Amino acid sequence: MTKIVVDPITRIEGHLRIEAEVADGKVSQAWSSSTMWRGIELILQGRDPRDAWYFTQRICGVCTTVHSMASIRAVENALGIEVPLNAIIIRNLIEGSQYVQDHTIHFYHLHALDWVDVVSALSADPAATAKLAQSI
Amino acid sequence: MCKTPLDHTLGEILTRKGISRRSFMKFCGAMTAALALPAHYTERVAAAVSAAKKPVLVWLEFQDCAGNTESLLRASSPTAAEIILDVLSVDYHETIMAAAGHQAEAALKQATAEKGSYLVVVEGSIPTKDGGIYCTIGGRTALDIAQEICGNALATITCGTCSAYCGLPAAAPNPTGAVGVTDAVPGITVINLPGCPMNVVNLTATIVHYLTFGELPPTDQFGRPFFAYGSKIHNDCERRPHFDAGQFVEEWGDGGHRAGWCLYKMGCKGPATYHNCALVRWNEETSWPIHAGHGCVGCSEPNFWDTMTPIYRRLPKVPGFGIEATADKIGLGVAATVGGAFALHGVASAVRAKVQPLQKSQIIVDEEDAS
Repeated sequence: MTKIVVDPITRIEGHLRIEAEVADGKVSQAWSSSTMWRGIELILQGRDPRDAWYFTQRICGVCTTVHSMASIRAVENALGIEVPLNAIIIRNLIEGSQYVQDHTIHFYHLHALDWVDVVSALSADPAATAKLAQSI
Repeated sequence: MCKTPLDHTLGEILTRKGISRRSFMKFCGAMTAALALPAHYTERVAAAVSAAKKPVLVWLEFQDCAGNTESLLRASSPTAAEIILDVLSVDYHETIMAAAGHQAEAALKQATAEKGSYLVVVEGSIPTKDGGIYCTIGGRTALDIAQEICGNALATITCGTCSAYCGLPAAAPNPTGAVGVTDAVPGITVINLPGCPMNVVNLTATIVHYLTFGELPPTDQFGRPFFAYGSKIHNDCERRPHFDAGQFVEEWGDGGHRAGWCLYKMGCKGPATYHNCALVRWNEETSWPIHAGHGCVGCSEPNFWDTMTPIYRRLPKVPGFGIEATADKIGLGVAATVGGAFALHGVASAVRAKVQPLQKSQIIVDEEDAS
């Protein structure tokens, strides 16, 4: 049995450690640990609820928007606030923009390198690639 | 002998990458403007950047949200890819590097092997409570890593308020005993680029300054470069005429809000915040918070999470009446909580120099508004 430790896991926001036991070429046991903690829940206690969205956003600078939206909904839910139609429309537009932006960041900046063999790109055939792309 | 990428000058690399002279000069012009240098310095900046060798840079993330990395990736002129691949040799950056685990740690070790040969960017604060266990990477604490990597660096650039002044994790009750780089590794060369997040224009300009003049730009009492943090948001604000005319937004969505009036009464912290947001803006210079209709939250000031909140509470005192003096008193309060790192006398005299007496006509307008 072999034990593998991957720390840091890169191209994510935050800090992550994976430990895995490998037996007969298969992972038999695995553990993941988030190795950073700030205590934002504790920091939020006792503060003006109108500020909560701004603090909560800082959980992640990559998917910032969704954290603030969730926080705003939680406050509205707790206080029984009815959301006007225009606000719902604006929020949907913001969430839509986030979706487009996040896809670009996640795919091209973060996990693309898991799918693309950068070194092999040196021996790639641009003409054949273009032909393949145009045939689709 | 074959040249390695580090042997080429930036000018050679940019030419090989097909960056035109025109777009390169546009970039140098933008950097000269950001550094508040006279326009004729553009040639000097261009010559220095062209002749420079790629500085080795490692980017460390501790108690962070990667918001400053996001800011880096959204650099527009030149594109982020050009900055990362052509201007800097970024040898370690957890969020964007291909390697992970042992390979990542090996890259860090290699890049920082020679003492005083590399720059470090730090994003995120450093926890000190309970032996620093609240942030570990590769089994080492952030504190241990910062002391070694920043301690042996040519200079450390803090990106964002967390690494500069401990930021959000240190907001009361500071559950993890978070500190900024200056407190975690005393005595090293640090330049602070606070902001939540920092504006990448200011990071690029700081590096261009270093390449052009061979030293980091001059800083204020909080270690921030004057070119980016020498003036208040309030002084450069496009809504300032409305403040001076006593035209304030009283409620979200009211006539004044729709007309782009001053957000002071809605809790804007622009009168107490030093940052160049109004001048360099965001997202390819299209907008910034006040332009979008929300007040400044004061994110480039030390301890703003405690001193500038609640976000929607008006800065104390009647608008127009001694507002500058009041704002500066808040600044002094902030300085006191930062602790022994900065001499209070220096703060007081620097703040005094910034106080602009209000024009008499302005006070009359505000009195009329009040009545």
